[in-house]
Amino acid sequence: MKDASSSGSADDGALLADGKKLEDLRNALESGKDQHQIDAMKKVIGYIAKGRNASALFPNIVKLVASSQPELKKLVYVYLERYAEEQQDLALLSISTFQRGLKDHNQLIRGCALRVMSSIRLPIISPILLQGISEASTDMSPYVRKTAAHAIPKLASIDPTTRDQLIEIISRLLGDRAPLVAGSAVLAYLRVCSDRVDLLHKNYRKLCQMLIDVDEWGQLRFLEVLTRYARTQFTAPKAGKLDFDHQLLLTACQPLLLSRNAAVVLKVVVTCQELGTDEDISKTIGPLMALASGDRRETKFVALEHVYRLACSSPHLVSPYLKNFTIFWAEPEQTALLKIKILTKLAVGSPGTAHQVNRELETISFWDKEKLATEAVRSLGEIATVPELTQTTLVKLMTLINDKRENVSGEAVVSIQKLIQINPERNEAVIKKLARLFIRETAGTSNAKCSILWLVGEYANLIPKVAPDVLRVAAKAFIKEVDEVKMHTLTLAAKMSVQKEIPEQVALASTYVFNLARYDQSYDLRDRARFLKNLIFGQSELSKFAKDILTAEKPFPKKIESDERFRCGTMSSSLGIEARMYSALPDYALEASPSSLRELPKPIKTVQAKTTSSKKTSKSVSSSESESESESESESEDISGPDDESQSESESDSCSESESSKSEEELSEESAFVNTAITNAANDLAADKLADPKNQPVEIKEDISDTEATPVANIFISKDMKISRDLSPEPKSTVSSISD
Amino acid sequence: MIGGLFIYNHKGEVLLSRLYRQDLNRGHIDAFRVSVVHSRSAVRSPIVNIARTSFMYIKFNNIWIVAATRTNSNVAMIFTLLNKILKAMQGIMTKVNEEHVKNNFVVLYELLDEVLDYGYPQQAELGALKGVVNTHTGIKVMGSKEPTHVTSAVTGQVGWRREGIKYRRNEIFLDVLESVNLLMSQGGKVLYSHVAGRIAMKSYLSGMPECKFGMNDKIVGDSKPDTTTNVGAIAIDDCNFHQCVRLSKLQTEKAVSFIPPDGEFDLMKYRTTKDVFLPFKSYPYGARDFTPENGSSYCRQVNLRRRVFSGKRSKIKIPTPKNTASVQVQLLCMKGKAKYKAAENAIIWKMKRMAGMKDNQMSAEIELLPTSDKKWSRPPISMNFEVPFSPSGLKVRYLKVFESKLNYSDTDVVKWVRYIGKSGLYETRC
Repeated sequence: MKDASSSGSADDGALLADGKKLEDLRNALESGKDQHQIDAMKKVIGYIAKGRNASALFPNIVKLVASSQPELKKLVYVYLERYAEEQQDLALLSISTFQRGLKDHNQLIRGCALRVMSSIRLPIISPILLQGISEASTDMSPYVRKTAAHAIPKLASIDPTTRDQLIEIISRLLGDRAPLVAGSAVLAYLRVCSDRVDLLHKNYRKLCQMLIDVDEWGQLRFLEVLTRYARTQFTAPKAGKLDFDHQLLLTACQPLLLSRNAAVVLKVVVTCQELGTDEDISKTIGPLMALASGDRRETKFVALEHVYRLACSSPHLVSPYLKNFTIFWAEPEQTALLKIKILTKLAVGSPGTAHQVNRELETISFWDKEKLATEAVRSLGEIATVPELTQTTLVKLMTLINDKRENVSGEAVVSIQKLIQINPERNEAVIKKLARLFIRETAGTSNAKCSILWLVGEYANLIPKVAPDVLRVAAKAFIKEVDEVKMHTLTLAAKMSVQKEIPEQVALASTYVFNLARYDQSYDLRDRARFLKNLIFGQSELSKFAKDILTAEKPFPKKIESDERFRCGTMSSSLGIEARMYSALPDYALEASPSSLRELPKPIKTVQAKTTSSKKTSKSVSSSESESESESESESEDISGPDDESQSESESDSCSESESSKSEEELSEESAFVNTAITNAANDLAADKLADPKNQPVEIKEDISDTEATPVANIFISKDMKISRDLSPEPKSTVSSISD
Repeated sequence: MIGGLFIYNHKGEVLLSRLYRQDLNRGHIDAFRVSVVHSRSAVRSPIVNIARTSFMYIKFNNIWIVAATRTNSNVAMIFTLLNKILKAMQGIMTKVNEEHVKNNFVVLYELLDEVLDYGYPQQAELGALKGVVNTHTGIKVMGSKEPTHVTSAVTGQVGWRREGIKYRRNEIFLDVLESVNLLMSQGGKVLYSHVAGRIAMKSYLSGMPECKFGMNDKIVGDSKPDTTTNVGAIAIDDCNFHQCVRLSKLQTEKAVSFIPPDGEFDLMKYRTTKDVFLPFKSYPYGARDFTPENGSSYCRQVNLRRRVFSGKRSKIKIPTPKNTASVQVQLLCMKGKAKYKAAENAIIWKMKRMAGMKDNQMSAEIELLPTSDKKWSRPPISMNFEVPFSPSGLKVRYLKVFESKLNYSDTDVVKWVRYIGKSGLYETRC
């Protein structure tokens, strides 16, 4: 292996188009010797991985698909997936091999054949593929059924006309009891027919209970589907009262908070925010904070984004964790910026924290990291818009306007400008100070200059002595400034000219500015100059109102919150722009759908009805427990009959022995369960299951590498049984009896 | 879903590319290289959007692992997946660097094939992947499995351990690894501190041993909070366990009991924020009234307070103003070595060993060049260290091994426990 690939990387420079190389590979592939063929294939895969074109070898390689050597076969599959679409005619040669593979006795080969066949994207074969998927969806091995579920979205994208048949298969797979399959079935549902809510009604409760058993990626899809379902079927929670089924979902996702997969935890957090009450959300905060102070930069970043959203919507929940957001010097800038944003929201949302936040932000504003410092100053400005905090923060900002870093001082001026607008009379001194800053030409950025010019113009009557001076300085520097500043100078000149008694100098300076602006390079500026000139000095009807127009009271600028447009945790919300295929969260239903929709048709009607009712009141938990248990057992036999029975017949003796001993073990455990506190046990089991989401796939992968299919299938069955056992003592679920 | 996965080296060359969807092509690979790998600006969000295509990346040893997608997807999922892929790569190739990636094209390509199917994540656990993607032969030859494996899986209880493991010497290694994060104000007030810890275990035990683990925390240690034995107990903010730990017993019996997997694994991860024992505290004293313009000298003193234990390999970084001309370091207690490093704009003070219960002081006289530069922003003093105890106060009380079938008892097992406390972000503002 090492040799083969290292020699492959050694001749990096040689192109595959190089005749001799190609010939060598071709010869090796045709040699008929397994080892040569494998080595050659590895080289070819190496080329593909580097992004070279290896399609010239297609005819030679497609032949090898029938090889009996599994290692070679796998490599050929990888190759086919890449190039089959380009060479459709030749690829058809391989189809018969796959069709044979679908009938193989080894489940791994069946699964693999289906996977590759669905990946090669030939529109011609869609009928064959559809049939293959249909057959595989009733396969006795969950692995193959899972592959079938995975193949569905692929087929749907190759040939949209098959959608109806596929939906049929999906509805069958959604009813599958193996968690492995359910995870993929839900994926197919999401991608192909997420509008068909009717498919979910019967499966809703089952899916809720399966949630802890499916693998981690499956859990993410489950939560997505269930959230959508709940939003469309239930009404918004009123005064903490939830629909029974609504509550079921929230209860089911609680244990997932212990998951090791950060994505799952975050998804639960979002689910609780979108569906739950404040109480549910508060339970998720601990785990969220743990992720937000974790050591992986990327996860931390995403978690902090979640915290930010939470801080926007309900700051009182986050504020006890204020300390978590103190900012380290060595922290990556991205997370530090997010922390500042969170702190700001907290200070605005729950003013008790404002003092602490202000101090932290003040510290940061002195740091040698310009971006952070600027952001901190801007945040101070935002905090100051809360009336109680305005004056104290304003004082802090005033100290910053003399800062030597232009961006920081500029930002401070901009912030102050906004604040003065709230209460200009009280802040006359501040305006004067800013004006003086301008006159001394120490106002840093052009933004700051604009702010000052605007302020002076707006409140010129408050500072009659300073304002003309500002205009003088601005007029003098006019030609050197950028367009924005020029524009503001022009506005200032206009505002000054409409004042009642203007000194002669002001009039002269204004005319000067108007004249300069008239011959400026920027057409915007020329345009504005002409407009203002006509408005003020013109003879039209409108000119009488020039003063009123120019000095009208301006409303305080409102900040537009664009952050909450998108659902938390999605790409769109991280980027702030709508990504393709983004689908907004549906609103709560105005009227809840009847819960009878979600109940399964009952095989044994009388008993079932009793159990459900007794459980709903949950008076006699233990009795209903035993009932439901017996029932779930009988039911599992009923339903799984066709699959499992045929299995156990083909089992070897030793296997069935172990099976029986196992069920004994289970029974004894079962009784123990009933005796001990049922609630606890069920929760723990749930958590237990959850803690090892990796566990299941691990087993499966190992198992499938066995040649013998039967003992493996046996394992799956026993697993299923175990799961049904785990679920039965679930405390609050009326559904446990129905779940199977 | 993910449209494609690429691996770049630090120069931006594509080492490996795997496209899952047709909507991506080589143009996108180049776009990422030009605007992210080659970009000069240091600040980059881990998510980048270039021309309607989103790229998410992680970096490791000069290797960039990048996922690209053109649709709306779950950000956290993709990052978790990338980290898992990285972990799988580490498991398969021992070392993840450019050369190893180049040498393992085939394996990696197959790995990516397994991890994602048509861009949907399906299987990213190292253990499972190892079964399918084999390091030496490319893939595992099917059908060569010992039958014992099947039976252990049949019982449905311990999928992570196979039966029939035998060791001549039964040994257990427990490592309590913690990293302390501290942020202290210049007044010596702790602004924020937390400990992120994990208990790493290496088990070399025969058979199917049942282990019981005890420590001094409030969740597990004692059920009654008012007993006197609970005095040393620590409060753990949150924790999660390896899949092998029976959570049911944790609740009912307050005991961590498990059948360990063979070899190395993380038994538990936890985080504490209360009562963190801070191994060092540094107190800066500086002449506050200095002005950088006049080129006067500036005296800097740092007191280091050391508590109880001794530590090793401590490194303290004391930032200096940018216009520093020269530094005369005088160490008052003559401990360790301090040097001025102009490149880092800091004085590095290193100590190989340090006795406990002592204060160490360093003072430095800094000569400044006249400059018109802006005011110096005083970056914090940061520390790196390693101490042989756990700063959270967590202690292993016992670890018992029971194996009913094989003839060895708890006393025959050789157990090792080690505590290592390291510094995470450890800063004193000044």
